[in-house]
Amino acid sequence: MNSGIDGAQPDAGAVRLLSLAVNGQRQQRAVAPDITLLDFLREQLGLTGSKRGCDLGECGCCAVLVDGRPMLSCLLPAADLEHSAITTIEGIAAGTALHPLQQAMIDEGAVQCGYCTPAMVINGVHLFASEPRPDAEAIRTCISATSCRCTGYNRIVQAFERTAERFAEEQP
Amino acid sequence: MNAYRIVGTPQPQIDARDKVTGRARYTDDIRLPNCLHAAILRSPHASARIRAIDTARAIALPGVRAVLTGADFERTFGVLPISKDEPALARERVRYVGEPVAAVAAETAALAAAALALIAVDYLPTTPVLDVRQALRPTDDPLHPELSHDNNLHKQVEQCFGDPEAGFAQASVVFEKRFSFPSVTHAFTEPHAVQVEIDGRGNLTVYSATQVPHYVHLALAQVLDIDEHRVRVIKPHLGGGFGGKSDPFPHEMIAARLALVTGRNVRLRFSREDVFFSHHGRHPTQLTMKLGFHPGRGITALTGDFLIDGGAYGSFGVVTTYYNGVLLQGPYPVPNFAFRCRRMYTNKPMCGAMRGHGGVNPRFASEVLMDMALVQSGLDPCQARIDLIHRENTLTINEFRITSVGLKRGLEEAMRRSDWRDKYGKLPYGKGIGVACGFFISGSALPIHRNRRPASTVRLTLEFDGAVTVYSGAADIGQGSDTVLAMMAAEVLGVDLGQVKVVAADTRLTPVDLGSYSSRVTFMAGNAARNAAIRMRRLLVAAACRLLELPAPEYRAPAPPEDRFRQGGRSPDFDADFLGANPDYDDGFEFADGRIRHLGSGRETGFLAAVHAAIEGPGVLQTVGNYRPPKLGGSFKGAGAGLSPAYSFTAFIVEVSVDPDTGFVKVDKATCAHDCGFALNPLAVRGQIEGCFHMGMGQALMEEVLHDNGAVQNAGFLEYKIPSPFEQPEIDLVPSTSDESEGPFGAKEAGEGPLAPVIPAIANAIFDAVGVRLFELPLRPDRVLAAMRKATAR
Amino acid sequence: MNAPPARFAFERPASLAELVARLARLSADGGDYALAAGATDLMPQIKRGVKTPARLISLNGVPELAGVQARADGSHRLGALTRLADLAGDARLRQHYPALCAAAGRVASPPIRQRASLGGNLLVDNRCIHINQSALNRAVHGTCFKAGGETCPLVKSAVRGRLPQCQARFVSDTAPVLLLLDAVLQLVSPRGERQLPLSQFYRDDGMQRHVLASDEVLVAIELPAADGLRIDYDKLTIRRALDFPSLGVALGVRADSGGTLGELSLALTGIGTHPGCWRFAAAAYDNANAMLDAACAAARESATTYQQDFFPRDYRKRMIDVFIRKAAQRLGVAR
Repeated sequence: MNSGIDGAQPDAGAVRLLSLAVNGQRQQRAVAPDITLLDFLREQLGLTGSKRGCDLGECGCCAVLVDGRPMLSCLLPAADLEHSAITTIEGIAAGTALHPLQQAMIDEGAVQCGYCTPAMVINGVHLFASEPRPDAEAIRTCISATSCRCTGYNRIVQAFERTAERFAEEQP
Repeated sequence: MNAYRIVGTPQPQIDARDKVTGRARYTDDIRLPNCLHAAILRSPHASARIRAIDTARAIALPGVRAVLTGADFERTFGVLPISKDEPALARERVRYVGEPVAAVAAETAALAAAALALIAVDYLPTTPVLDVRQALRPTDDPLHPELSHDNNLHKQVEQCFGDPEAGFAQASVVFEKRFSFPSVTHAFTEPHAVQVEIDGRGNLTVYSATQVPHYVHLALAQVLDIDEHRVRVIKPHLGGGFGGKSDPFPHEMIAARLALVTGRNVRLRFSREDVFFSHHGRHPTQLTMKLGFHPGRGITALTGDFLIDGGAYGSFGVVTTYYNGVLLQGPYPVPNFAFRCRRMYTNKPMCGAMRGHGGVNPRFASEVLMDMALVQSGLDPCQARIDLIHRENTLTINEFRITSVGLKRGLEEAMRRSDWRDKYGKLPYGKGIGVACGFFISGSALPIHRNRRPASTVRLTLEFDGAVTVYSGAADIGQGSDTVLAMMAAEVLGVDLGQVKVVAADTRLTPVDLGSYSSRVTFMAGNAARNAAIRMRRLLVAAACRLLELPAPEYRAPAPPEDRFRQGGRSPDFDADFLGANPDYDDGFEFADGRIRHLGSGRETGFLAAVHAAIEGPGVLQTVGNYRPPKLGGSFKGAGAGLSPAYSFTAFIVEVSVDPDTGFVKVDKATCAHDCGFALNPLAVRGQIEGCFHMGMGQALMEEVLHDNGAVQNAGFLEYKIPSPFEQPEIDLVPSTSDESEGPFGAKEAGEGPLAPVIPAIANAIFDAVGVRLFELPLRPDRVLAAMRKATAR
Repeated sequence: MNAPPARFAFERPASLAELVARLARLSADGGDYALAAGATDLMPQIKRGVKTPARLISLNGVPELAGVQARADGSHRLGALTRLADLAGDARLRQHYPALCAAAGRVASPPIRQRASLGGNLLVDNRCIHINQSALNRAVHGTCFKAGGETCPLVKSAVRGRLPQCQARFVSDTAPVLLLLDAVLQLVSPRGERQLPLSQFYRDDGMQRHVLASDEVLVAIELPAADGLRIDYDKLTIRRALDFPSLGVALGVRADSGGTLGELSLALTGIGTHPGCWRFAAAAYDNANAMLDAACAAARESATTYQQDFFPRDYRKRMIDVFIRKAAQRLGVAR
């Protein structure tokens, strides 16, 4: 986004053209300057996998990957993400092949109501990308990003541990 | 050993893949065409008269399509027919901060919000009633003058069984204490949301995040004054409920009215703060309880006086008022029992049903008093509890029929696995172990609306392609009820779980189920699904017999009730075609691997061949199953409260560390014995128990809705503290099952009962650790520390 | 139909020069803007209407604010845009300033730390139960000073305009550690650049919280070599995730040339309008326990607590001593 040093920014308050990549697809959309990434994804792109639980950065359910890092989309002005690469929960599985964490979440009963599940997966995908064999502390820290009221977290921890074991088996 | 192929094996939820990929659609994820956005204006006053509302500027804003006020709703509503005291939009007065006062539908959400700011409400603030003691005082201006009470009493219940005074006289120890509980809230993750689709004939399809589609359906028709058949309620995927979505709500009425007025589709969603305003959480409770105990006789008497803070409206409050008392009738016999419970109206968000409804706070009191009595009597608190738990097939003093009880064996096992005997009273200062028990209903035996219809009905179809579809009104709220219904149908019909589709919680397509509350779904909808599947199986067996040239089997009638319940209870309400709660489907055939095999002759046919043979006549195979609770209970006033066809039992043993410098309590480990009868889906049972522990521990250690001038002060997840993954301990789940003759495949509830004993178990462990008893929740570090300092000072 | 105007306009300057020129212009015009890096503290306040800047100026495109530089003498320059997660996870920094990395790792939640910056954490707004609310809930008591009103629900006698007029409490997790590390802020404005010790940065007021001018930008945090200084940071929260500190204690110990305790230093957060910071030289005390007693006394005397978060005020105050002594134990000092 270019802004002139002369201070002539008549368009700063107006709808602007935003271009970024979402789940590998380039998007160019007109956005209001105050729209959050969450609203952009849910209301403009129709990607409703990212959930709105509080809209204040407290529940963590809206997490997406921004250039590979998990962030809360309800706190991000979309306009600040020019040229970013966004990955939402819809973009995690490779076709029909689930990420090992997604499969583990299913198998271990880590999914109850499912409302926190996308964010749990998003944070987990980042964790395993940066540390394929996270210890218990790293796992709980990662899970603490998202509020879950159903599971008591035990099955989610179990799913993360299973995933870590699986990565360990693949790359001994 | 599990005799079944599918039930009894751990099964992930059938929609888990949709949930991990973001495909699952929750209410606010639906995109209706040409949809208006609605917003609600809320009261800034806890108590005020509404002198005037000026909506002219709002309606004049371009893009605004409708503005509603209380004048647009004549009828009040409420989940219970006996307390329909809530308006969709406040009329004449507001009764809590956050109460809906006006609503707008506009072309965008931002416009709707902007229009709210243009509505001028002229309030005359009045003195609010903010606590129960104040509510007890006489007033000529009660919140609900229609009740003709001279104070803010909503409901008072008094019951007495046996002779409590005589019981206390027989006791060797008597303890009486006052306990205090703040409100806690469900804190489900998905905020309330509703979307309304209207067709050209004015029919409404209401998508709502609700646990009770049927009740919402009825309430919408009544409040909007339209024929019931014009309403259809669909519950999409639901992000948690725990009782907080088990009422019809104002926002559902508002959105539907806006759709009717504008002829447009309408979308409305709550902020997190709105959810706290809506509340319906656990009642703040002040209670005094007295327990008499004798080592040879057990509990000799128990009395309680409960004062519960209902907030502004009724919700489930009348039920809560009863449950505070009657749910003390387990897990131990109480031969002499009396209680009084008064529910008061106050100018705060209303309270209602929350996981463990009505039984949680009294359970804390009774299990702490029990612990005090057992310690005082020199008994081991764990062994003594095992010895006291109800025997099977007994009647309680208030005529609850206790059938299966698997907790004695379960708690014995938990005691072994937790090394109780090596730990209790023997751990170093600051470390402690504690135990507590509880019990809960598997659905209420009586319906909220008096009628003679079944409590749950399931329709089942089998198509030419072998697809089995379960049509059930039950609402999967995240607990996995769709999955357990599918499992039962698959089990009976010998098909893969993937072959069973579930169409649920759609009041146009699915038969009536009363909803997901009081732990009724697995038990009641489960029995209905199983019965429907058994009838379908009989159609296939008949077809197979024709194909295999075998005589049709003769089905045995279900065992008569007196054999199944040797004591207590009355005869189940059999009608001519009633399959009974647990009819045998041992028909001499094996359904497996796509084949139907006659065991006697070894002859077999393909499953699909039998389907095709059976379908020739009717064109579609369709069966219906239902469940009616048996007639239960006494004939005294209020005898119906707490009646259930079966009760679950739970014990928790909890180990804690208490930091003597800070008073912080850390739960190190928990061992749970939960008698859910037969665990239909062990994975789901475990999930429910672990979730109950999380919620119980939250209430025990940190959760509290704070009010300030009547307003919720901590209306968000940053300041309303629910435990993080770091606080949750490992939970060892020990086998504690029973065979419940009334339950589907022997099952009972697992979703609510495990919560209540968590809290007193933690408190009793704190006593073992540092020698102090606390009688007020939450057991915050400052309270623990203050109690420790007081104890040291003595 | 007419869409309502956006809540804020958005700009993203691409260099420090561009940013400063822009601020000069906007300030001259009365400057209704907010600078934002992670925006994790700002966005909730905007959504609740606590803050209503006409313009949000993103710092994320300014390269001069980013990056960590290590110097041969052991000193470091941390760009203000350094994300808390990067700080917490930086193995080299962890060797030099382990407590800073640990404190950064205790802020909020993992995805917030991915976005939130170190500069933002130093500038995180003071909090109070009466301000961090929706407009509806803010009005329940009569709007407070910080929300633009005329009362303080905590201190009924408080007067607008007389310091401290607002008791909203300071909640940065990293500031107390940076104070003990003698951090110096590099600030740039249209008037040029200045270096300001962090110890001179904060003010005793929940509203006018620091001395940063409205057109001034926090560019970087300069850290001298840790030089034998060992710091312990711990925070009082009821759960180990998400929460701001109800109390945060950073305790530093530095050995003298002989290897015995030479200096004890202490900084507090979560209590009071600004972080308290004290130093105790060994020469003035009989022994380490006496230093510790002095630290506890100093902290206790300075602290006035209010009922404005989860823990009762008396308890938070009582925990000051406890946290200092527990930190001392972990550092191997005294009892």
